[in-house]
Amino acid sequence: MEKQLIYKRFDIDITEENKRFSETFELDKNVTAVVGLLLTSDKEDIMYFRGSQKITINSEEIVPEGYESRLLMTGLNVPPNKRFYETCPIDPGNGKVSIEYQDNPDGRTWFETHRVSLYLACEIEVS
Amino acid sequence: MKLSKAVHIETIRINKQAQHKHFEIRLPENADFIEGIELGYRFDGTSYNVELLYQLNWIYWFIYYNNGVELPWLHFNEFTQYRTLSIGRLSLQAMDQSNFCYSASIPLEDINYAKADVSSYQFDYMYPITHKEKSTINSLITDGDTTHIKGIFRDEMGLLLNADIEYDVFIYLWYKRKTN
Repeated sequence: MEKQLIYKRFDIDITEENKRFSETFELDKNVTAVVGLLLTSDKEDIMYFRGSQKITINSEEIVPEGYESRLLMTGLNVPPNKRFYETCPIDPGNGKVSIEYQDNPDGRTWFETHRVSLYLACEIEVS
Repeated sequence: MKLSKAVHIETIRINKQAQHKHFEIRLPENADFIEGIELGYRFDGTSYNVELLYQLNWIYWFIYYNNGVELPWLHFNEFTQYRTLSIGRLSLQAMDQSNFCYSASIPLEDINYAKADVSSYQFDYMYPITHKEKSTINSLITDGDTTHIKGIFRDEMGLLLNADIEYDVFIYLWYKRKTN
């Protein structure tokens, strides 16, 4: 069996200010481990200044409530191969990935409806 | 027994100019050792004095977005480096042992990141959201048993603007915990 890296993207729409949005997604059955994660948005400034989230995989807390989104974002001057936030290989278990995103008014930005995308680097086994 | 990674978030609320805030961080019983630290902040956008916010925005804009533009009254150019504004200073010290001691200044986004980059000249602006480097955990090596930490945070942004600014400072302490 050979290991191969694939990338998964999960989107969540943030439609209201100062509110929490929760969503649960499911990983493919052939995923054997989650090895990295990354957050981005179509309105990066809003997420950078206002966002925080909790992420769990298979009910295991990867980042807790209140963890700022900016800590999981990268800029363009980071090489593509280094953009993902590396985690110890996480067992996907039941394959359920949940994100609870909280918008927090910051004052330097004005709210607009935006999309938050969670990218996961996953290992699969191929024969 | 195995070790897994976890993070403890401590939030410190600052609402007065030049405020010094003392606090304690207690890690859970099953924490084995601290392995890293991250810092963050967020201004309060709900109860905030809007005029002060504009003032801060103005300073922020003035330093960031004049990259490459020579202003007649100030010699801004793409090669000059400026001091990054500081939100405040943080010091942490283990209560019971002398194995953990940490001090840092929490900066507003780095204001020199686009300096001397010709692509940022005048019309092609760079922002912290597009060109800031990836945040990584600041690794710390501790020899265990430090689960009770005393800290002090001193406000500097309020001193700079000469006003009471409300904001939260976040301290993320990464530690290894014992799980079955």
